[in-house]
Amino acid sequence: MQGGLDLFKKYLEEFLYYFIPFAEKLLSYLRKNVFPYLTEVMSYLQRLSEKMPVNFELYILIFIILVILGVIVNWKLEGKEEEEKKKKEKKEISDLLFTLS
Amino acid sequence: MTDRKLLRKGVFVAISSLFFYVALPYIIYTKYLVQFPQLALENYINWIMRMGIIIAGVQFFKSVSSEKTTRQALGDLLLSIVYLVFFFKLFTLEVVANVTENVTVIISMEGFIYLYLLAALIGIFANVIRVFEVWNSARRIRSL
Repeated sequence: MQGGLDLFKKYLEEFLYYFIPFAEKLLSYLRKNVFPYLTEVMSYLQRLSEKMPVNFELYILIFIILVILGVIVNWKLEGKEEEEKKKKEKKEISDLLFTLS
Repeated sequence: MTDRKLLRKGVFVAISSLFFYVALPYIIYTKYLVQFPQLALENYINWIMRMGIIIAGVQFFKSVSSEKTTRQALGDLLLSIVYLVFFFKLFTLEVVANVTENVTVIISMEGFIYLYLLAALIGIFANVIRVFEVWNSARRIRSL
């Protein structure tokens, strides 16, 4: 058990020895070249999060709306799926016939 | 006629999301964290619970639709957007800890924001492409 743990530690150290400089390089590259472009999105999200309401009622209302939407989406799904499956089979058969001819 | 199997799955997913994002943080806060008033975590927990309610709703919407459909792809897209707002809110919130009467420590996770933002935006972009891909394949099947 101890030997296995030592081996794990050794491999972990080796991995971190190579990975940390690589991760630092990647992060510095991202900081210089990519992150400045994200400031616009960041400021938009900041404004959005400041405007978000603090009362629970609105969130519960959104939850209820999503549940109702989900039930509506689920309505008559089975029949629709069977229809699509039949169409898929029909397409496969027609493809097969086309390749045979 | 509804697809009962999917509906059951959706209800299960929504309830488990509500448990993990709403009930569990509330229990942990009221049982254990409330004993440390110097941490002032109430605002933090409240935001987890608020966003958790929306996440549970989106999870339900996503789970009740069958696989590889536009509805499910839209649910995925909605979920990634909600997660982005959720984590953005969590990373921007500061936890104020009054260590002693004169010493106050502010814990902030703003360093993670840009990295998470990049990953989340790539995810949202991938989900938008997936919505179009699934919608297009469904349209092709319908036109047969």
